[in-house]
This record gives sequence, C-alpha cells and structure tokens, in this order.
Amino acid sequence: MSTTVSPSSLGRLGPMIGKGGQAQVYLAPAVGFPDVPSVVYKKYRPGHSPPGGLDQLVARRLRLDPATRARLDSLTAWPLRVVADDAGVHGVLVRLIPDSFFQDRVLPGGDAVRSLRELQFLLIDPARASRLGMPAPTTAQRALVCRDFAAAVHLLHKLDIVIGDINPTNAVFRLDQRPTAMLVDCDAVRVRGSAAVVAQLDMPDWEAPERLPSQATDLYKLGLVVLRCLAPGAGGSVSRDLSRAADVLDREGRGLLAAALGRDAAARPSAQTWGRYFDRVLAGVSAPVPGSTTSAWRRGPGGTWIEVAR
Amino acid sequence: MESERGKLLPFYLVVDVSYSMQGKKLDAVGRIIPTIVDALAKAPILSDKVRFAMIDFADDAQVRLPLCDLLDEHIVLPSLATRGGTAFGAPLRLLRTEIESNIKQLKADGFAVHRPAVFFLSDGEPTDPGAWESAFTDLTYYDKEKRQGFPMYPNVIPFGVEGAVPTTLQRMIHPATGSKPMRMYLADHNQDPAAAITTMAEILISSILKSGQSMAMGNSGILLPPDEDLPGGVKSFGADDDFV
Repeated sequence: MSTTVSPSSLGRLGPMIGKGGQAQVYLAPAVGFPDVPSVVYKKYRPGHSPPGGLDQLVARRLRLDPATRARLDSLTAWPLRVVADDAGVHGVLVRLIPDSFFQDRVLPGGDAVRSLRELQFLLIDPARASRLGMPAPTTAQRALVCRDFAAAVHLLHKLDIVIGDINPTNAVFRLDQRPTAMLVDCDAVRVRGSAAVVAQLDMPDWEAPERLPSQATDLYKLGLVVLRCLAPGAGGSVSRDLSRAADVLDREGRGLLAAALGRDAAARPSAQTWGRYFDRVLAGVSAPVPGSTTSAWRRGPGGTWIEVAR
Repeated sequence: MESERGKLLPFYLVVDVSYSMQGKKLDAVGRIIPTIVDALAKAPILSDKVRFAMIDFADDAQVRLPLCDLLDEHIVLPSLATRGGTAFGAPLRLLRTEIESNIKQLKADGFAVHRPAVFFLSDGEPTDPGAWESAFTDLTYYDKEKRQGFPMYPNVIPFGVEGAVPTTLQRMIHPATGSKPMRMYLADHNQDPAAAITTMAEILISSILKSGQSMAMGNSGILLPPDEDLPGGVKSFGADDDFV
C-alpha cells in the first residue's frame, strides 16, 4: 500500500481548524479510509516540512495487523499518509480528533469557544479549571487517564518507537464514555535506531536527566505525567516534587514514581508496569455514567480505591 | 534545580493615558489585559511561568494592576481614564521601585525570577524632555563588573502609535545591543491607531506564549515573535535601524 498521496488527490479542503508555528490543519472531507473515515490535512508551513522519515512512520502503521492498528488509532493521531509530490513533502493526513476530546466553554472575556481538552488542564488547580469552563476530574478519573496514557506509551514502545516530546499540549483527554487519553502530535516520534522525523526537542520543565531522547527518557516523562496529573495545583506543571503525590498514591505507586523520576534510566518502570499498576488500583472502579455527578475516591487498605459519597 | 516552585517571567505593561489617548485608543488599551486573560485561559499552565502588572501614566504614573497571576480568581481588572500629559519619566521611576519590590517578594515566596519585560505603549512625544532620560538610565543601567546600577534592570520593548516619535522610542529599546537585543514596534502611518493597539496586544500575547513555552530553568526569558509572524499594520525595528 502506498504511504504517499498527492496534494491534488485531497479534493476540496474544508476550513482551517488549527494552526501552529509549524503547520496549519484543515478538514479534508473528500478524503477518508475504511478504518479512519474522518481525516484532517496537516499542512506544513514553507520551510517547516520535515526532512524525511514520515514514510517510515506511515509504513509502520500500515504493516500492523488490523487489531493493533485500530488500537494505535484509538490512542494516537498517527500519520495515516504523507502528502507529497515531486516538489517534496507538503504535509500529512491524520485522523480527526473525536468530538469527545473537545470541550465547549466560555472564556473569561465572554467568548464561546470549543477547546481541545489538552492534558495541561489536568495539571492546574481543579477549581481554576472549573472556573475556566474545563472539567475538574476526580482522582480516579485522573488515574484512568494516566492508565491509558501509559497504554499509549507501551504500545508505541512495543512498536520500537521513541516518542521524544511528551508534554501536556501533545496529549488530550476525555472523561465521558470511559476516561482516556490520546497522543495527538506524533511527528516528533522516531523509530528506534533511526533519526527523528523532526528534531525531538524537549519542552522546558519536561526534560529528562539525559539529554538524548530514548525510550528511557519517555519513561521519565511518563513519570512526570503521572505526578503532575495526580497532584494538580499551583506550580503543578513545573514540579518534580514526589511528595506532592504522597497523598494520592499508595506505597507501590510512590515507589514506581520515585524510580520513574530517578537518574538510573534502567530502573525506570516500563509503561506496561504503570498500566498494570493502575489496573490493579482501579480494579472495581467503573467510570461514571455520563451526566451523573462525579464521585470522590479515596485510597483504602491495600491501595484499592473506595468511592466516597459527597 | 533553581527552585522547586519554578521560574517566573514578570511582564510590565506600561500604557500612556494622556489626553491624546481619549476615545477608541483608550478602549483598545482597556481590552489588552482581558485579551491576555483569554489567551492564558487557553494555555493555563503558563500561570506557572508568567506574572503581569499594568502601570498607566500621564503627568504621573500609577500601578493599576499590581504584579499578579492573571488567572487568579480575585483579580479585578482596572478601568482606565485619560488625564494630563505624557511624562515618560514618571512610569520609568515607578518601574524601578515596583520591579525591585516585586522581585524581592517573588524570591521570598520561593520563586526564581527571569529578567522582567516592560512593554511601553505611547502615542506621543514625552512632555518631560531632559528628565525622562535620566529616569531611563536609572532603570536600565547596570555595570556587572563594577556592580553599579540596577541589577534587576528590565528588557524594554517600546510600542509606538500615531504621534509617537520613532527616534525617541528607539532610544528606549533595552538592551539595544548584545546577544539578545530587544526591538520596538511601530504602527504604520496609515494604520488606525486603535487597531494598531489591538495588533500590539497580539504581539505581546505571542511573546508571552513563545517565552512561556521555551523558557527552561537556565534560559534568559523573554522572546519576541519573529518578524515574518507579525500581524499587518505594525513593523518592528532594532536600535540601529533607520526610518525612511
């Protein structure tokens, strides 16, 4: 299967739905694939197209068995096809992020907007998040988001991918249906053993002790995600203070976090270890029915979560 | 690690409220802070990185919004009214005392602090020639070897609209040279000044986002948007640029 499509095959593009320093994102209503019906065209700005390697990421997905590919597509916005012609790479097609990851809200100035629920909203004081029109999830919901974030990291690591730039604007979450997370900006990933598609820059405050990105630095950053999601509040997006999470993690969780944020790269827990830990902790906790009031949870003996009536 | 609580970049927005600002220009100035609040509401982790203050000036200068986290629940945004002339010296003197006490306070609260950034918006020529220059020197002069001057000196980014004289504002770019020189922004001659002020708010926000997203612990702080990203109607100039 070809990894590349030409710009002319995209048909009429829809409206621009986002733009950043590197690219503009357009709806591409005329394009679709049987397994990913709704896609967007991420068009690189002149001079910002990656030097190469996107083909390899696209090919890796296309080679997966259908079940693994579906899982990759549910946990990430992976590049589906490269858009290129004789002049070079123009952009990539990626899946449209589902509605459930967006939040309708009113900004302090009064404007109604639709915002991606970026992970960064989990890191700030929950009362502030509510005031800004974003959800303020319970600890159990946060743990579910962390669990699926770990699942995404585990899947990519199993596929020999180094994620590189894990940061709170590159992942989004939802709370209804089942709370989960999704990695949305996958151009900075690389296949282990090859160069990155784009430079794997660290976001400040998310650097690992080692300078070069590797699966070990991904695991360090996963530890930061866990710490910062579970212990939100002022300074939460820059903190590496393990004691902030002391009240919400049991002994095992505190141990995993200390190892994840340690200098010994080999001792960091794998994403699978984190996933299994959260599975155990969350055993018996079911996601709240959409629209119902959320429950509070506290840790019981042995580290299980106990629902607390409000 | 310098500080577990992080390193903050203080922004000081200094705005001219002399009589010539009356009307649409003042309205546009009044909308700057609410626009910044909305930008922060979209990127709220920046509140772990930046703080804001607003000073207005005419013949005198007043702190209208003391240095704060703009997403704080209890912030009351100031309303503005025009008064008097355009004495540049007044806000420059006030900045020196404010910056000094604010930085001491932030450090006492456990934060590390980046060099502050001052965005200085005016539509006119200073009415205190001879006086503002020495206030500017007091605010910005620092000799590291001799330890003379003001070690907490800010980066200064002048914004000029309508009657502002480019060669005057150009003297307020600080630092003018060195490894990280600042720039100034001027509205085009044919540009509606109120629209130019709104554009300058965009430049300020773009600088906040860019600085906040790239500031690491050891990094020196403020970044200005590259010229190719500037909105229309406004141009940027360095301290050595000529005006045609």
